[in-house]
Amino acid sequence: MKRLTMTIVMAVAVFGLVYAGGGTEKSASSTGGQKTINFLAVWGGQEAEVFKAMVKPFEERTGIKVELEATRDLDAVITTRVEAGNPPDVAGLPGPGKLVELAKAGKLVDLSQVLDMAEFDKNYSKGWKDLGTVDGKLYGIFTKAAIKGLVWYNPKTFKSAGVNPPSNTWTWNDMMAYAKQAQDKGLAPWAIGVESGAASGWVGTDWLENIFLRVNGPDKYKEWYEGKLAWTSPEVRKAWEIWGQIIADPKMIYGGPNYVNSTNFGNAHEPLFTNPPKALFHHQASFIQSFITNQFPNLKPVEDFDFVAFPSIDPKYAKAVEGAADVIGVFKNTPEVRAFVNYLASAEAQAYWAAGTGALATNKNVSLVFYPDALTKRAADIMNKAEIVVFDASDMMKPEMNAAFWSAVVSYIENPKNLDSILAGLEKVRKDAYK
Amino acid sequence: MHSNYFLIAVLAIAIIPLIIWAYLLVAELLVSRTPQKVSRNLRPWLWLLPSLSLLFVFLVYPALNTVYLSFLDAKSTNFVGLANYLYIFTDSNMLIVLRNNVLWLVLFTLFCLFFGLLIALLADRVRYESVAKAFVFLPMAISFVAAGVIWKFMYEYRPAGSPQIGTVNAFFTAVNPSFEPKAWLFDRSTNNVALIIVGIWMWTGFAMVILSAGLKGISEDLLEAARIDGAGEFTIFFKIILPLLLPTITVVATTLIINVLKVFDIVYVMTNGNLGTEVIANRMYKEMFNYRNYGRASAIATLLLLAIIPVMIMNIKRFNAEGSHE
Repeated sequence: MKRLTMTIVMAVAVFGLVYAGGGTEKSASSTGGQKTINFLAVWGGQEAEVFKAMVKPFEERTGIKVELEATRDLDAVITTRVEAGNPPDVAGLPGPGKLVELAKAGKLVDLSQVLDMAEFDKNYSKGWKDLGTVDGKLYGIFTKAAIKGLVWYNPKTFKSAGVNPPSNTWTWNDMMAYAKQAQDKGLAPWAIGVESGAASGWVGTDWLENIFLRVNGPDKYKEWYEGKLAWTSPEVRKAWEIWGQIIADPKMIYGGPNYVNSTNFGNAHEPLFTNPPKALFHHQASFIQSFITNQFPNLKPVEDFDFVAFPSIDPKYAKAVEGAADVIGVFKNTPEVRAFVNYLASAEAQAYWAAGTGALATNKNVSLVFYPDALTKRAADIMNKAEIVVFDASDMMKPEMNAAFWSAVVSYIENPKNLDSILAGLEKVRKDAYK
Repeated sequence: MHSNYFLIAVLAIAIIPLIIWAYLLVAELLVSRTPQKVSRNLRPWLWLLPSLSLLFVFLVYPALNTVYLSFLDAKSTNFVGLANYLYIFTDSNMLIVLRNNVLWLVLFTLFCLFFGLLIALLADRVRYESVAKAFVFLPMAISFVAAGVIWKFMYEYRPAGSPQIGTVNAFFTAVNPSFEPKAWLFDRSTNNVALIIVGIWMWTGFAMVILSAGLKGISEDLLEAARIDGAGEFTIFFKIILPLLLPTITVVATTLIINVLKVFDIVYVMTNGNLGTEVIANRMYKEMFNYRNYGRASAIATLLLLAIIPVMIMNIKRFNAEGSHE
């Protein structure tokens, strides 16, 4: 019995110590802990480095630390953390679809309480502001933009064949003529790769969106991503069939359908730059430039690789541009977060993205001098001057629609004959998701 | 902030055993003061209480809640009856998912057992047994995700005529130059089997180790006696070893089945369920975290639970039977 009492006394003593420890720990967090901002995003590698360089001046000026937490499965991680009541302070969201979903669920902070709105209106065009607005309130800041639907080529391939490269006013028929010429010389007209882990197939959605936009125009495009247009409608079907002229024809694509499905989008440009080149064109957003120069450090923009706009299909919609950008949402409204988000939106911070990754700044007051080379400058200029800018449609769709769209692309590449059942399957998902 | 989390974690590790310890001391102190008749009935329950309450909070309650949510809609607001279950058994994609799980269940379990047993038997007869077994067991030490990445490189596909950088295609084209390289993970005729092979590669070691231990438990005298009686090695295997090993095989098989029903990582890393390779757990993950359809996700989880329960019961019966022998 005596031993028992002794152990209880000891236990209480230990508890007392632990309790005291807990007390000091608590006071530490109230002074130091608040000054760290948790930022969740998909950015890794070079993007993460640029982000860190970008926040460094902010950290030095304010003494607030910004911690970047990067994940490739952003959608699932954000969903889980928000549901668990443990959201990040600020996050780069997976897309506008998620922005709308989170804003409607009341999880995001109204940015008019965070941003200096007069300053914001000076820096951002109405288009980007509208995209970030849900039910009349601003919830998202779009940054780090890219132009989608650029056709990349190797100018030396054209030079050695004595053929002029395409111009920005080329048409789909011109493209097919180039393709024929390439085939005669033993070159595959297109190099395509759609593998991208959990997001495999998104490359194909970009193709289909660019075709859809140039066939059906921006109004139908909007109906489409809002879930108001049937996947079995003639408009949607036509876009798939036009893409089918390329993707369903093994003679049009390097390596055949299995190669397309198994090749990562980040390496897909490779056959353009091998010696001798094996393919003529590669379709990808402006961001691919950093991938090309990473893999082939000796290549110089304009001289060794260049781009033109996506070929026009219906001349009515020749001037349309599809863009995409990362959207930033705010989950907690604290003084530190307010300071940080205002900095993020500023031209000073945005210039880092332009200089470091070749991403296009959405802040129109970022000077063109920050762009690292002539090609990026040209892309930024197109972006700033474009009349019709539409956002990536699949990113605007509901998450389940978007995911089904990605998978459908993979299935279509595998067997284009199944187009009917693939579209019927997508239509079923649409009816279910938008009821 | 993070250093605080670390401190909390360390404190939790220290505090929780202390709390349980203190609880047991106090409970024992109190129970010893009661009359013996009461204390005899009370004591087991007092000792069980901490684990029972943890079990209830972290297992029973969430499981029951999941079953409840499976009868509600996507946002868990309206009652929808059996609609989520109807979806599972009628949607064409879900049917593919169920078919794949059956495929995994049959092929994975059978081949793990077959190779496990074969290697255990063969290794039993050589001097370098431990080395051979170590190699077969090695993949168990690798995480599923890492195995998925490794095999993704192994299955890498390049068009015919270009250098094959994937081990599998490189091997086949080297052995047979007219071999047409295959995109193993992207061809519907091979992709499911290609994924299952990764699973088998990882788990054969487990089956082998347990079966090998069972094999060592069979008395040499028995086999000797059979040999003296003129039984051939095949007769010995089918008439003596196999029947004696059957309890062990059942244990291994049930463990494999429980694991294969939960398979997720390999598919997630290698194909993400594209081109008809999705399995139940991947579908559940997508419904839950990507589509936020809690009703369907819960219905799939419930289905998985129901599928595992009979196997668990079998396992428990097995344990009980073994216990009563002694």
